[in-house]
Amino acid sequence: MKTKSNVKCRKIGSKLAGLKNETLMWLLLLPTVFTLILCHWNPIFRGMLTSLFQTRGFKLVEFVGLLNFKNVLTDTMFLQTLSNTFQYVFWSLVIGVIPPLAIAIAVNEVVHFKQGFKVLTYLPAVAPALAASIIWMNIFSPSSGGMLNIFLNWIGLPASKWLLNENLTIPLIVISMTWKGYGATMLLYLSSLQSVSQDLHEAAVIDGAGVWKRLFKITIPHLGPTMLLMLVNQIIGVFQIFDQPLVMTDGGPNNASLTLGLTSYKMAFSYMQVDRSMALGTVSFFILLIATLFYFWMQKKLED
Amino acid sequence: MMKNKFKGIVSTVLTAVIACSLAGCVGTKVGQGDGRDGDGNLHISIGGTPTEKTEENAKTYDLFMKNKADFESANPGVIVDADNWSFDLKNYMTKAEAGDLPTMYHTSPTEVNNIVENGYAADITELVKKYGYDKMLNDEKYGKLYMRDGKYYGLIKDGTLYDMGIAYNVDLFRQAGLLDENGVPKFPQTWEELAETAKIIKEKTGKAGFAIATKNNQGGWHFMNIMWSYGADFMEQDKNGKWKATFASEEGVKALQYIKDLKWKYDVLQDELLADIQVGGRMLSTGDAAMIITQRSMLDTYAEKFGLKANNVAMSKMPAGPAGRFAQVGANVYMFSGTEEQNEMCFKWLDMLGQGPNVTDATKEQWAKNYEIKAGKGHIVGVRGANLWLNDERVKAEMEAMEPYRTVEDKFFADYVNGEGVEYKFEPERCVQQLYAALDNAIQTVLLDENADCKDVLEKTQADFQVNFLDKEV
Repeated sequence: MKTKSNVKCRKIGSKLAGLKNETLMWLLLLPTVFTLILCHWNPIFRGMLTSLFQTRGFKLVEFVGLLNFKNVLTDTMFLQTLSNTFQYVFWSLVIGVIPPLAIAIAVNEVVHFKQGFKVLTYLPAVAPALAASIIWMNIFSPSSGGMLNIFLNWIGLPASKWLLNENLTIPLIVISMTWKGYGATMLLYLSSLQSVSQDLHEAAVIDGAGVWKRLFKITIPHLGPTMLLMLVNQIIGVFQIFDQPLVMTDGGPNNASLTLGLTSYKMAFSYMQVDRSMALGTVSFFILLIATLFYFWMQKKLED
Repeated sequence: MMKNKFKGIVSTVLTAVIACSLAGCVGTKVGQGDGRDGDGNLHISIGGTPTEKTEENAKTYDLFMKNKADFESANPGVIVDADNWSFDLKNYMTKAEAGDLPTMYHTSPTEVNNIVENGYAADITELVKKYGYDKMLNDEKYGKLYMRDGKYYGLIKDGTLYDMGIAYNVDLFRQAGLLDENGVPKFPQTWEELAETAKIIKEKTGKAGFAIATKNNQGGWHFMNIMWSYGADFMEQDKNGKWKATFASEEGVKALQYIKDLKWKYDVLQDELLADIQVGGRMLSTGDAAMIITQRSMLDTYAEKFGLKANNVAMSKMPAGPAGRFAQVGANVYMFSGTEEQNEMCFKWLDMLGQGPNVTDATKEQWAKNYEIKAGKGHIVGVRGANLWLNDERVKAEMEAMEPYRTVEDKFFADYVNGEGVEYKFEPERCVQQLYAALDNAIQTVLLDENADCKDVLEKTQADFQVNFLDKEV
């Protein structure tokens, strides 16, 4: 009996010690969890809830079920806006993936003035988003005084309409986004690159591997997980884009650069239709959720 | 078991945190709270007033501080707070919901419907009657701007209205040889004449003859005037109360064709075709465009932002179209968000500033000080908008106070002020911002695509507007 009792006491002691460790873990997590709840989950849940009601201002007036969803999904602009949003994602993958990676590799390879290059390449990320958009608006200005048009004129080519060209608007906005946003991604790649063992590179050099072979056989595979993470982040981030088109084109010309995010913003803040805005936000949320689940499923399949 | 209990506690705490955070976002609403501080003082805040003294606003700030001191000494226990927030759609709703609106602020008539319908405006009918506005205001003519369902929700700022007209850069007209013997621009009398005039200017100066707005809903806002003058209207209500869009009429198509011609037939527009009213204002101010559609009060903004010279600008009434000469009339509308007691103090504040219906020596003194400051900022002083009041006495007194600070010559604004033959119209009643946005797109389409068919474009715009907005009105 004595032995049994001792064993029981030891088990309880061990559980209490485990619990103590867990309490500490939960305490450490609490600030993050609290911020997550307040700033992320709270708006999501409130938005979903609001989308089921008719609103007066932000006040829920009457439960209307799925009426707001019907209203936004039957909007004649919905499909174009959805298509535009996917085009932003597509162009951000075409235009936005390589620059941060290439610059990170270049900065990593630089021998002299490395810190200076790091600062210089990160500088655009420091510029306020609005200022960056205005700078690019001037660069892409269709007037003869636009920076690119001055250059075209200088080399004897006719001026371009740039942002006024419906086919160019989205890629051009994506270029401005990439310029503003590559710095942060580049730093993540750089930190990942710096963890690659130099021994691997030296061994590869001894074995006669050139720059490209080392890049594709050592560097890129090492960056694989970071690249995948960045890719998902980029898709989620770009899918929600609204500030750049708001400033640069207001969704024009002829709605060619209108996005789901910008439409949701206009519904809430220009037309004071919070209910429909929240319904559109919820639709965007579920599209992204499906895309993210698909990504995880794909990743698992690939790993298997 | 212990672990499960612990998990239960954590789950309960998290649920409570979620519930608290959900509940914690409920703000104070219009008219709630008593507006008093711990010492029992009643606070009122006035939107669009300077909170700090800078080199640019020194005189305005000093005048505000003097008025504040005078008001507070005349009304013990009341404190007037400056609030430099001016109406902005981007943050209006969040401020309103958080109970953070100034007690009194001003907005455009376009927003009055939304503000009232969303419950953010105080009903000031009793105060309007108590302070005698109802006997002086021309409600029959202008009530649409500040009244809803027979109740008063706003007051017109500065007691003056604005109507749309055409503003001219006098220097560009001089360069193009388009001044008359008095040195006044030869104002185009019809839209076709305007296009021809713009063409001459472009040919002789190389500058845009006419700069138009095409985005931020402002293109549609301005285009509305042209559509009226071609005989188009925007919507009508059937006997069941449903609204029906009507602007894709033959007249509407002709108006859109006119816009298209400005680009593809006359080629007189600015290169920057995705433009808001600020672009036009900048171009007029810097001599890059000869004409824009605007209202007089915007010229003050352009003077401050872009250095528009008061002696280099003229204004005329709107040109005529086949159906006549039409101009949208509007105003800056004061809205109120306080308790009855706070709102009443705002009425007293307006009285002191000379914005009420009564004229006293003190109000004349206030007007003089204001016009002195405006003249110092290069504003257009010497021209007044349409008369809001039922009698002319108040306007005459104000014009007398304005005269010593005049910055513009009468001859440059006489045609606009006279407004002979202009029919003034209000904005349509429903989904106004959405309508403007839809028209923006129609304008952009025909300006960017030479082959766009105006009829098809306008019919699609109307169908979309009907389905997306009017049919979904609750």
